[in-house]
Amino acid sequence: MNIIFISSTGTHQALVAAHIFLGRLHKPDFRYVTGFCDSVYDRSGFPIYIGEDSEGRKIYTLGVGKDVLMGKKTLEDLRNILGFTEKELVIEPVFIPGQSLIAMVTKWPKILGGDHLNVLVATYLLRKHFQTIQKTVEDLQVRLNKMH
Amino acid sequence: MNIIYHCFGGSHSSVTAAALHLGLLPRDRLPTMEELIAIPYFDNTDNSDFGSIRFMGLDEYKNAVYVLGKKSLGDRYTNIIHGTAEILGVRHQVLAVNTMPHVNWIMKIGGYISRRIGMVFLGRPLVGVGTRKAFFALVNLVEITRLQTMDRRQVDL
Repeated sequence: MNIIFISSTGTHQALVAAHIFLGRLHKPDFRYVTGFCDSVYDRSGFPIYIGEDSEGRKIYTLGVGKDVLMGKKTLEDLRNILGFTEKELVIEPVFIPGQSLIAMVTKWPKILGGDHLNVLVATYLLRKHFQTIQKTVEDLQVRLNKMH
Repeated sequence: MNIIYHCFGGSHSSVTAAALHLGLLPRDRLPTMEELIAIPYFDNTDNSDFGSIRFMGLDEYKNAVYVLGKKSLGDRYTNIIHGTAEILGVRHQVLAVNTMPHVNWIMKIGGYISRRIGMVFLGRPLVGVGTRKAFFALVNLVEITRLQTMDRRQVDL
């Protein structure tokens, strides 16, 4: 099974959710989260492979722009067209309050301190809403357990 | 194979390209306004259609042709689609084609007036003019896409 955590970028809340899911992140300390706030890594639009859990599920993150639900709809349609179901690919959107601010600062020019602002704003918001992301992951785990 | 033409709203350039691919429009002359309006989904989508991959038909090689509106996400959406297919191990079954590089300002303004503001009587003729202006560029794009699909078919065989 493959799981893609989607949000406006693949290197902020989706990345934190992926690390929580993999059991690598238990408190809001993002210093050792590889690729955190790396907007260059996220720019191409390809899913980012994060790792594999103990049950062999491959975990990815993906940035789908401002309209996350539109991205979810496209990916679900694509999955169906290709003849797969939720048993092979789960698409999980991750929302936090203020996420549009994160999307905005990732586009801030580097020369005007964009990178610094990106890390500063994202760290503040993701620390503040860490429990919201944890809840999203827990709900997904419950859903996955029911699927078995 | 599944071919997905995508543009901003999924109602003009992508639909025209898909219609060309399926032979619903002539490739050797400019289509009339009536021919454009007769294409399924042409200038006939709403906000709920954003992100939906809509089926347009099967071409002569049994490739399924779809259209998609992806707002302003540009080529990123091609990578999103190809990347997801790659994860599922079926990258060779999907070809996403961005038609936005061939959209001109007349189409953008006409599309905005018709779809966003809802003044169809004003926007639709403008879109028609813009689509006719971009028509042969779209023909070229579709020909390249068809060659790519034939190339992949030969690889698969």
